[in-house]
Amino acid sequence: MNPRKWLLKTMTSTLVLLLPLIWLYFHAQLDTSKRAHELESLLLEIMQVDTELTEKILKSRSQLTLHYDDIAIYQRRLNSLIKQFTPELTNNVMALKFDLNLVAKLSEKSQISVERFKSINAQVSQRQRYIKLLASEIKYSIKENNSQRIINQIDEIVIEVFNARIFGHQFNYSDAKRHMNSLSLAVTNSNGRTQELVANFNLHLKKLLLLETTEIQVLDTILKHQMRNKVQSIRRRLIDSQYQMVNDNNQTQRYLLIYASILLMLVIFFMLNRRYLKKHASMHKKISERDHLTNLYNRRRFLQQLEEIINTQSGALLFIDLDGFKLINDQLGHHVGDETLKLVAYRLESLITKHESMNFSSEVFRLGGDEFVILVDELCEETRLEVLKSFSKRVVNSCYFTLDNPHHDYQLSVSVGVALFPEQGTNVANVLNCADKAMYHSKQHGRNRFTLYDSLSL
Amino acid sequence: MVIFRKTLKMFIRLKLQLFSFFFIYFVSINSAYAKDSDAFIIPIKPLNHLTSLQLNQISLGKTLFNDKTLSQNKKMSCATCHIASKGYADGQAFSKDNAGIDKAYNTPSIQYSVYNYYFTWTGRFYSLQEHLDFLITNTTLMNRNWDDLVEQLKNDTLYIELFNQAGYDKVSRQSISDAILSFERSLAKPSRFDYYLLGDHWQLTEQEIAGFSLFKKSGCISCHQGVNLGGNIRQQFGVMKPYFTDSITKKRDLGYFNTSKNNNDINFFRVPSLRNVSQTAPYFHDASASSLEQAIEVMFSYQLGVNASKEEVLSIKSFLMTLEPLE
Repeated sequence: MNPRKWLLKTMTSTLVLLLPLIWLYFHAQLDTSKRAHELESLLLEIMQVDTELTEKILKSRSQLTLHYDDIAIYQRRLNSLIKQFTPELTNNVMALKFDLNLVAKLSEKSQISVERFKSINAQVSQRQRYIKLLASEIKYSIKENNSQRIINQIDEIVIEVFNARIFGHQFNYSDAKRHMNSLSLAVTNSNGRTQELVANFNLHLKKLLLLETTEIQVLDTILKHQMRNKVQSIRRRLIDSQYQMVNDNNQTQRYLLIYASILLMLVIFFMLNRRYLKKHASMHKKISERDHLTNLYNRRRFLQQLEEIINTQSGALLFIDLDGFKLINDQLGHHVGDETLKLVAYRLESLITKHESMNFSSEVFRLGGDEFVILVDELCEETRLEVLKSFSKRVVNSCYFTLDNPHHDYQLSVSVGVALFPEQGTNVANVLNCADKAMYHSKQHGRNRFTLYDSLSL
Repeated sequence: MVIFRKTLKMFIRLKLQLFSFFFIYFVSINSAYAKDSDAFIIPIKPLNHLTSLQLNQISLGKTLFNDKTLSQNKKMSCATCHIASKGYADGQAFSKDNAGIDKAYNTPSIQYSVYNYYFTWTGRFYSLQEHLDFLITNTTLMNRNWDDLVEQLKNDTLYIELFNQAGYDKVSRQSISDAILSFERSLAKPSRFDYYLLGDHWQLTEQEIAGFSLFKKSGCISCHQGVNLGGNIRQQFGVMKPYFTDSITKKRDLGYFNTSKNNNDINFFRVPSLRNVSQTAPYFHDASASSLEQAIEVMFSYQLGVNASKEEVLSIKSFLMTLEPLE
């Protein structure tokens, strides 16, 4: 089998076998990173919802308006997000599964805190109203001399309670205690009913302060953001690990190696192919420029070469035609004719190689049939006619030989016509025509000779 | 030309007058609305323009809601305990389960349950879907398996047609729940009070408005707030003084503690929605208050610490009557 074909086949089959593997691997990798990304965005959303929930809680704490509906909406959103932790999402990483379970637990814990906050917050707001109610009750029932002072004191407390709420701070316990003490002192001399009312007022104020303290504690646990911190750390780790996973994975490296080797093989294959094509291209060029029989340059090459030099250089054409070649072809057969042509070609070539030392360069072409051309250029200007004449004479002499044949000896000779350029024109057809005419002149004047076109008296 | 200019001037003046009149009118209306609602209570907006598909879903849900064959013993449907004429509660102290034994808690109304954050008296279910699953699979109630139920409905040609009309491509647990839940969602209809909050001030009488302001002033609103006047927080029963004395405390009186086992949750119950409240006697988880007046009195004394007068109770009651759904 052709080794090139074999190579091609193996390459293709390897590629076909390996490509799905590579595709599968990268698909799996993509899937993993996609799920990691999904989880990451889910965690981000949880963080956002948690932040908004906290915002609503703080708003509810610092304002007299209640936002339990809003809080409930965010709680529901958070719960639905936590429910989206599926086993598929964790990529079967045990540590991640554990972490997500922890997040769910922490969220449950924070939900309990939020529930607690809501009920305590409602109680606080209710107690505040109750204190205001008690204050107004005291105001209406009090009938002492120092009633105005007591009323002022109570008003101050009530204002303080609501102020603390509005501006979001806690009613200072020592302040409250001072207020309560002075209030109890103020009513020591009053009647039983007033004392009872004030004691009740103080009791509920104390309860309110206690509730507010509890509220702050619950709020503290919420504001620790245990869940959110956990989620954040998971997210950060996830992003890091995702980056490392792609970077440090042995499998990735292995597959990259395979991929690179396949690439290398492809490159080598293309280089070999290129070399092969180059070789063949030069062969084809040779074939297209050479005559098949005599291995001389052919008409096409001749015309090209002449075209190139005819305008720039001076030179000459030796148009060579075999005498009586038709006779040889007809009587001795085509194979003898071919042999004869080969012989002539060989002689002409050897003549030229012999004359390489001379101060001009020349080349033999076969125009077709029994016609040959020698293209001579780089002639020295002064001696060119002499040199050409001697060279033509040599040509004629070297081609004057006898063909050995058992039945009949054939004398072979050539007629040569010489045309010069640019003397005979710079047109290829003109020069060729002139050389042709000179050659015919030689033929008409007894063959086995050469004629210079210049010497013709036309 | 002069005449033209005069008419133009007159026109502009008229326009200005009209504009200022409408401006003042709208501002006054809006400010009144803002003052009254104060973000404590968010009104339900009237639903209209339901598509035929939605209507079909609702009617399918209604059929399923009333179908007794969905239960194991073929004697119980959702409507057994949630009767439409009694505000989707059943008017009894305790509903009977499939063995004829009283349930632990009074049956709450489900008419406005869509707007609740959690469900049942202790608030242990966080979605209506969960609640539905519980009721259908509970051995003392419907006692059904979802797969069996789906199989049963699949073999019923009438139901298949209804499901097709409602746009469900197959009978499944998902589509059954969706139909029932869309029916439950459709039950929440605005009341006169909602129209009042939305700006129609003629909906309430003076006495009812006085009741609403007493409701806000006395502090009922610190728990009964939000779109549903409750239903989004849990609160202790007996904030001001303990409601349950040791001698009569039952397990159900522990409230959410039964589910969470957290000491902070003893006697904690979900604050029920006050919408529809006048139709759903008796009141409280243990049905201890047979009339609305009694319930209001208990609330006043145990939750607010006030001994309410007869007039106050009636005033609050007249306000609560405005929360009945229209139609």
